[in-house]
Amino acid sequence: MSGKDRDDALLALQQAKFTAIDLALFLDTHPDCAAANDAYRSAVFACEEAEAAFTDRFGPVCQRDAGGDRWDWTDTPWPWQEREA
Amino acid sequence: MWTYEKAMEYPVHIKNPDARLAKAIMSQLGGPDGETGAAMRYLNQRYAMPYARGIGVLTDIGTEELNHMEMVASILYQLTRNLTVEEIVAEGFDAYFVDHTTGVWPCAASGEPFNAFMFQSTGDPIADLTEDLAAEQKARLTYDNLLRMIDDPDVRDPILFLREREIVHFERFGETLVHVTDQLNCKNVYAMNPAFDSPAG
Repeated sequence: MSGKDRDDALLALQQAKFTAIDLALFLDTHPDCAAANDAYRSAVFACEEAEAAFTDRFGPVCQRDAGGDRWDWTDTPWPWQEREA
Repeated sequence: MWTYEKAMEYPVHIKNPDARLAKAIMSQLGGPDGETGAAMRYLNQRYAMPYARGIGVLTDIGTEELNHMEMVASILYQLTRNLTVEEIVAEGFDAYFVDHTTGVWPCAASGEPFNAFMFQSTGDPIADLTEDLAAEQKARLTYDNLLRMIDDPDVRDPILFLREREIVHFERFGETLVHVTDQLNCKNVYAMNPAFDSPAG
């Protein structure tokens, strides 16, 4: 469940999500900024791709993606347990 | 409605335990300018905010603060992993240990439990936003004080991220305060409460 591949996929997901979080907050106070709005839509697309890539290999990040063959929501590490054996 | 994601906003990977540092960093979970107070402050202030843009900022920053609670709690969890009782006593963590073992409990570095008097929700959006600006500055300076005593790069890295977010939030709240005051009645020169005194807004 752990290892470099998982760390890399998780970091890519965190980078994409943070980009979207920060742009959304900027847009709350600058709703007419077209460049930020375009960047936000691109960031959301990148989030979806990174989340799908992570979930396919390492299990659900969101509960809506849990439960394929069996209930796997609690199979993978919680965020504070990353890199624990 | 909130949904949980099994990924932190920013990675926390601490290899070496340090109970003394955990005792100091604890303040940013349950202390007077900590992340729990920040989340509770903004998420409760939303209801008295008469302007949609202000509600958006309070909701989105309040939500991000919930993630910062998880980041600080994770730092505490990882700093207190695999400690021996000898280390706990030597590193000044014994009083906390007696009450909480190594469980995460929101309190200040000086030991006071988290409580709702650590923040305000005044029902006046201008007073609230002015408090929010101060809160972000106070949280930023608390992280500055922590950074003065932290050498471990594993601990400095997430603390530096949290410090930067205080600065960004301060900017967004400043813009929100300008947005709110721009909409006041032009005769409301003393910025009376636009949420309660109806001619004020």
